[in-house]
Order: sequence, then structure tokens, then C-alpha cells
Amino acid sequence: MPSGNTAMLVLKLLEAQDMYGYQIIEELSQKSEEVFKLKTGTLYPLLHSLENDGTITSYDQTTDAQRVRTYYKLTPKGSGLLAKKQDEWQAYTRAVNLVMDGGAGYAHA
Amino acid sequence: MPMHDTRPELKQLTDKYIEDLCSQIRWKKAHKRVSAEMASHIQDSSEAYIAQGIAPDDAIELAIKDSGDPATLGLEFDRVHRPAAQWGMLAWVAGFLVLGLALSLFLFDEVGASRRLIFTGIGLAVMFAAYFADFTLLGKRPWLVCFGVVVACWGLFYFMQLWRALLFPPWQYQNITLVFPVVLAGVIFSQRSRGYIGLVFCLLAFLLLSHAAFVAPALSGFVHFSIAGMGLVIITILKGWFGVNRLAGVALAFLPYFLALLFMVFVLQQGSWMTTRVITAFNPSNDPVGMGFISLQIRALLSQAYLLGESPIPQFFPQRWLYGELVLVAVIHRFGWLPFTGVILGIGIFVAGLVAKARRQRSGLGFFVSMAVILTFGVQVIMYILYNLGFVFSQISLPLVSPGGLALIINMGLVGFMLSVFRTGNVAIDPPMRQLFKWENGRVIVSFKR
Repeated sequence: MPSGNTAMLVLKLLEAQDMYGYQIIEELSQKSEEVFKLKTGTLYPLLHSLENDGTITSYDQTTDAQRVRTYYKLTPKGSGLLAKKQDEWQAYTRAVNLVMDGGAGYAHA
Repeated sequence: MPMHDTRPELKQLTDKYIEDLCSQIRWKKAHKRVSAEMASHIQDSSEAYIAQGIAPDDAIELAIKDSGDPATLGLEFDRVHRPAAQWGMLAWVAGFLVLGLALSLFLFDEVGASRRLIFTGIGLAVMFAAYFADFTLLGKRPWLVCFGVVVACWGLFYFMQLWRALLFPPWQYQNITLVFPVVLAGVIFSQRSRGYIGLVFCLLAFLLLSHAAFVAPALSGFVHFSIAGMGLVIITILKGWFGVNRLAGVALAFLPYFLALLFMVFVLQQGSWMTTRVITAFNPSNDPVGMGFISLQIRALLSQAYLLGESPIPQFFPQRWLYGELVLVAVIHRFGWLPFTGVILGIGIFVAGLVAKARRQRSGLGFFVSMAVILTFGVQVIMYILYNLGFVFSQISLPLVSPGGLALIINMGLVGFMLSVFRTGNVAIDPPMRQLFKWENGRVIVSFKR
């Protein structure tokens, strides 16, 4: 999975609710029917760099068991980036599907 | 981070993993955040294994194995975590300093400009020292800092009346009170989740600092702190940090003002100099000692100013005033209203940029400290503009721009401290919130659990 698309998937998950790292890995695996298994080594550096870019922010929250978890939240800038990435992805998949279905040649005829 | 019912050697396994990981991250300040998050991740992951029926010991080993090679992961983090150098903000600060220098050279004499150059040099040293300082120390010992500052100010302001050999003119020492909002920010942060009790403690710190500002050799510092400091308390209440009812909290916060108003009424009957200051702020011509003359002359000058270009100066306007604390009047007089608007717009954009950065801080302390500096900055700007437009007489300076020895140095130090928050705030960690009192659906919930 190319890294730009991982960012898109993570942002999409955070659009629904604020999540902590482990939750993102689980959620992505479950939603993709276990196709996407995010590695720890990919996720956390990605989250931290997205935060540095200002597309997400983080905050610490204490759980009932008095544990501190770092939650991530989508920023307005992040929503904008997600919308853009989603459009690009849709254009891309449509183009791939056109070629794969053999429909692309039709336009030239 | 406590690991549940595990053998010590397994806890050591986690610690060793995190230590190996962190050894690859060159920026030491980032270690705490990364290790806390990774420990939490390993715990989440092992709990999931345990839920699947795997023995706790094996679960931790599996969780660590899943996390991958620590050195590789550490290198990934190292690439992401660098101190965020504040070049853009430093450029803005440099711009204001250059503007201030240019104005003092162009409007004033060379002596004034060279004096200012020396103060700018000292200010730069203070600013960079603060820029590399660790702002989280303020969150660890807030009361010590608060009492230390109050006692130091009481001592200084008392002994100043005794000794005459001073580095700066006595009234300049009131600028020390410009650091009070930052000191208060540390206290607010430490009390943020303690409900009404926390709010009361913050108000006590506010009153204590207010008193130290009140005994300063000029009243402007006190006025400044009572606006900026209270602004900080109100922001905290409105953000819901104290966990109190917003309306009741704000009402409680204004109680000191109500008491101050009563005090004023009392003083008004006594006819002290303070009363005079309050009355002349609204009607300058009433001032018995002639301070109101300044405001009236400023108004006369401004009424003749042009949109662009040099305007005439009123007959009785002493030119030397323009060399001091009336830089904006000097700009309007020499260049016109448009350049004045340009300066104000520049300051406005800078402050808006600062607010945007402060709001993105992940650490609560980082948010409070940067908001405290922004309020200190903003209230000074507003007071200075009002003074320069012929309202309230004030001895506050225009941060970074107007001349003024101690004020310039302290303001530069404060800006440096705020930039140190922006520089390292992304990896700053707040201690866990301790909720003693909670307000839920009109009921107070007390929790003694730590």
C-alpha cells in the first residue's frame, strides 16, 4: 500500500471519530476485511508527521483504568486534504476500471 | 506506564524495546512522548492477545514482536521529530525590531537610536536564551514560581524607594509585571481540572500577583495585568478546563473586580491620585497635575493629520514628547494615517498567526503559556494605541517597536519563551488530569480516586 494512500485511509477513519494508534490499526483491519494490516512502524511515524503538517492534532486522555492514551483528531486542514485525496483516488480508480473493462479504446473510435 | 500482572523480566522486555527505539531518536525531548505512546500501544496489543485466550507472558512477547524492529522504528521517528525552528515567527520579530530601530533613527536622534541598539542586543540574548529554554518547568513548579516572583517584586518595589542608584528610571520597573500572565498560566495549568476549588486557587494567585503589580512604581502594569491575567482565567473557564459551570465560573472570576469597584468607591471618597487617574482617563481636561494636557495635545495633533504625508504640529505641542512613548503619534504626524494603519495591520496579522499556532498546541501548558504571552502582547498593543490616540494615559510600550529599555528586553524574553513552546510543543506531555470535582447535569461529582 503506497504511503500517500495510507495517510488517506487514516484520515478517513479519523473523520468519523477521534482514535488512538492501536484502535486505528484494528479499525482499518476490520473495515478492510483484514486486507490492510498497518504496521506499527508505519502508523506512528505517519501520525506524528501528519500532526507536524497540521492535518491532525493529538491530545492525551486518561482512561477509566487511569491509563493515558494519545488520541488523534482531524483538523479542518486535514478534512480539506482528505477531500482532495478522495477525489484523486476516485478519478484514479475510475481510470483503472475503464482500462481494465476495455472501455477506454471506445472513446478514441 | 504500569504494565498489568506481568513478570518483572517481561516489563524489562518492554522497557528494553522502548529504550532501543528511543536510542535512535536524536532529539531527547521527543523520547518521553514516543515511549509513552509505544508503551501504551504494546499494552493495548497484549490485552487484545489476552482477550483471544493467550497467556499474559506470551501476549507481551507477541505484542513486542508485532511492533517490529526497534532500531528501524526509532529511525522512522527520528526522521519525523526535530525541533520545529520558528523561522517565520523569528522573521516577524526581526521585522518589528528593524521597524523600531528605523523609526528611532528616522524620527529621533542618533543617541536615542544607539541606546535602542544596545537594548535590542541585550533583548536578543534574552530572547534566544528563552527560545531554547524548557517551558515545561513552569508546569512542574507553578506555585514556587508564583510566590518567588511575588516576593521578589515586593522586595524590589519596596527597596527601590530606598536606593536611588538604578539601572533604569524607576517607573520602568513596572514592566516586570509583564511576566505575570505567564506565571499565572503555570498556576492555572496546575489547577485546571480541580473544579471550583481550582478556580478559587487561580483567583488567589491572580490577586496575589495583582497586589505585587499594584505596589509597582506605576499603575499601568497593574491595569495591564488585571486585563491580561483575567482574560486568561476567563479563556480557561470558557474552554471548560476547570470543569465548572461557565456562567457561575465567570461570575466568580469577576468577584475580585466587584470588590475592586467597591474599593474604588471607597477611594473615590478619599480623592486620591488614583481617583484622579480614573476620572482623567475619560476627561483629560480635568487633570489637576496637567497630565491631561498630553492627551488634549495629542488629540489636537491627530485632528490635523493627513491620510498620507507630514502634517503640522500644534503650537504648544512639545516636540520631545514624540521622542518618547508616542511612536504611533510620531508616525501619524510624519507619515500620515495610512502608514499608521499599515503598522497596526502588521501587528494584527502577527497576533492572529500567534493565536492560530497557540490553538494547535497539543499540550495544555503549551496552550496556556503561549496564550498568556499573546494576551500580554495584545493588551499592551491596545493600551498603547489608546494612549497614542489621546485616551487613557499609560506608561505601557508598544512591544518590540517603541523605545523603552526594560520593556523591550522583557517583551523579547516573553516572545522567545512563547516561540520555545511552538518549537517543542509537539512532543510536550502534560501530567494526567486529576478530576477532583466534576459538574454533570447540574450535580457536582467528587472523585477522590487518584
